[in-house]
Amino acid sequence: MTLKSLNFTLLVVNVDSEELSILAEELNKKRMMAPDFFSNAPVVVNIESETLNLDFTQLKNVVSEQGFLLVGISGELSEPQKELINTQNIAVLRSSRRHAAKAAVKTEQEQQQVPAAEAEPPVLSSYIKTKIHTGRVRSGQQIYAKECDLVINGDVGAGAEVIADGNIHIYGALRGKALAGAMGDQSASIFCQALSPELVSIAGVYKLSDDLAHEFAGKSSIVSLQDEQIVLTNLSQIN
Amino acid sequence: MAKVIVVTSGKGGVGKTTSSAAIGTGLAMSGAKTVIIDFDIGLRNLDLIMGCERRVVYDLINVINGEANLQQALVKDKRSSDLYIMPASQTRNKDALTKEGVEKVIHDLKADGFEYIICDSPAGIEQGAMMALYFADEAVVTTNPEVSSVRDSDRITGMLSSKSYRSEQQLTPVKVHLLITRYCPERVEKEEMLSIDDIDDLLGIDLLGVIPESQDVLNASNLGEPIILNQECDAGKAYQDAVDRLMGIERDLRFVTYEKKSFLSRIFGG
Repeated sequence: MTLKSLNFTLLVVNVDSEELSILAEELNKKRMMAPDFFSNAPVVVNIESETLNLDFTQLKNVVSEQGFLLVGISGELSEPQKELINTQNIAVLRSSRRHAAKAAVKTEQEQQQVPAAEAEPPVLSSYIKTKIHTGRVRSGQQIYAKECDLVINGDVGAGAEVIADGNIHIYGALRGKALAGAMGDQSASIFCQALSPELVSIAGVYKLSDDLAHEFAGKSSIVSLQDEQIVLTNLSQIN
Repeated sequence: MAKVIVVTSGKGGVGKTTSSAAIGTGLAMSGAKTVIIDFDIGLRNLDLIMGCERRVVYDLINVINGEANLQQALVKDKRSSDLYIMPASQTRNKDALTKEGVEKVIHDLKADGFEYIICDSPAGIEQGAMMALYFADEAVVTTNPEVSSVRDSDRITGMLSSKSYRSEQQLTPVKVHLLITRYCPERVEKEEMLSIDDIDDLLGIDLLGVIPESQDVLNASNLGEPIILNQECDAGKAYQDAVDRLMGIERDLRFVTYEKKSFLSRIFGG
């Protein structure tokens, strides 16, 4: 047996209100996007402000009632709050985001010292590769690209579902459902060669086929989000 | 090498049993020892279509449960000496079908020298249908030219590529063939029916055959005579073409275009 430390990417839900029903609603919405994938998914609750007076036992219950597993609580917490959380057997987590920001500044300075000609491209220690599915996605099938883009080399049939936390590229016709930015990335887009979907969704904002502009039906299109509205653009008109 | 071929569709009433009977009979007529297994437990039909309902004593479930042996349950066809039927149980429910049981029956049939084992699947995507397709080497997906049938065929094709023995063991995938039944070129011409191209667009499965809509099919079912034995009618000929293609013989598509009858031929019945 060995003991080592590993990094994990977790779903984080921000809490900025004492009203726990808002949290319940938010989690439910997320779960409904892909019930299979989010069942018992680990989640971290991030408290936005230490002035919030929260009942942590209730919070834990709300999270588990929605079918998620509470891994821990992070954010702006006062000492008494941390103690209170610990007595509930919930972990207090420290986000690494601030440390990451500092590290980024440092590497930038280092790079400036190196003459440009000698600079080597930065080697990424780890990155998540795009998930590629070759072949048709048939009715009843669900493809999920966790924390990455999804490429489908084939048609997505009616009754099929393709989901990605990043962008979705379909080299074929989209006749089923496509949900990009499933974890809430509003900059995610869907690209397809023939748009006749049952539903398209970006970061939880969705449109059904009847609500989509008819001039794009069957055309190669990009589906993206602008000002929280689904926007369609023609794929072939982009230079 | 024995081949297990499932005839399936997802949707009911599209011609699975009619096609199983026709294909099984056609293969047996070519001299290959063939058995057709009825997987529609509780709603058995194959024996009627094959005209052997009065000779059913034991069935598939009896064999799986060890209440009868294979030879007792197999019904020999009266017309072809190479054709056998394994009837379904009419009294049990579909949960009586176990993976181990079906595996043993198929194994024993192969050991018995059967070259083609045709599994006539029930409609739906539940236990009976799953068991019928699980051990398949090839599949004949039966589709009517209409949207709900096409979508169900899409679903079942997805299951063939994810829920079968071949997919679970990561062997070469089940070879899927598309059989379009009840095709009516005249209605396709009037755009009242999906065309072969439309269906190919939606499903992307290699076409095995197109059976034209025909009154003769219903008559054949009522008589308990597989339609392929009637080589006078278009549907029988189209099934024969499909069987030939299944055995690797190339055949041109027939009965897929609508030809308007000329004025004279209408008068003189040409």
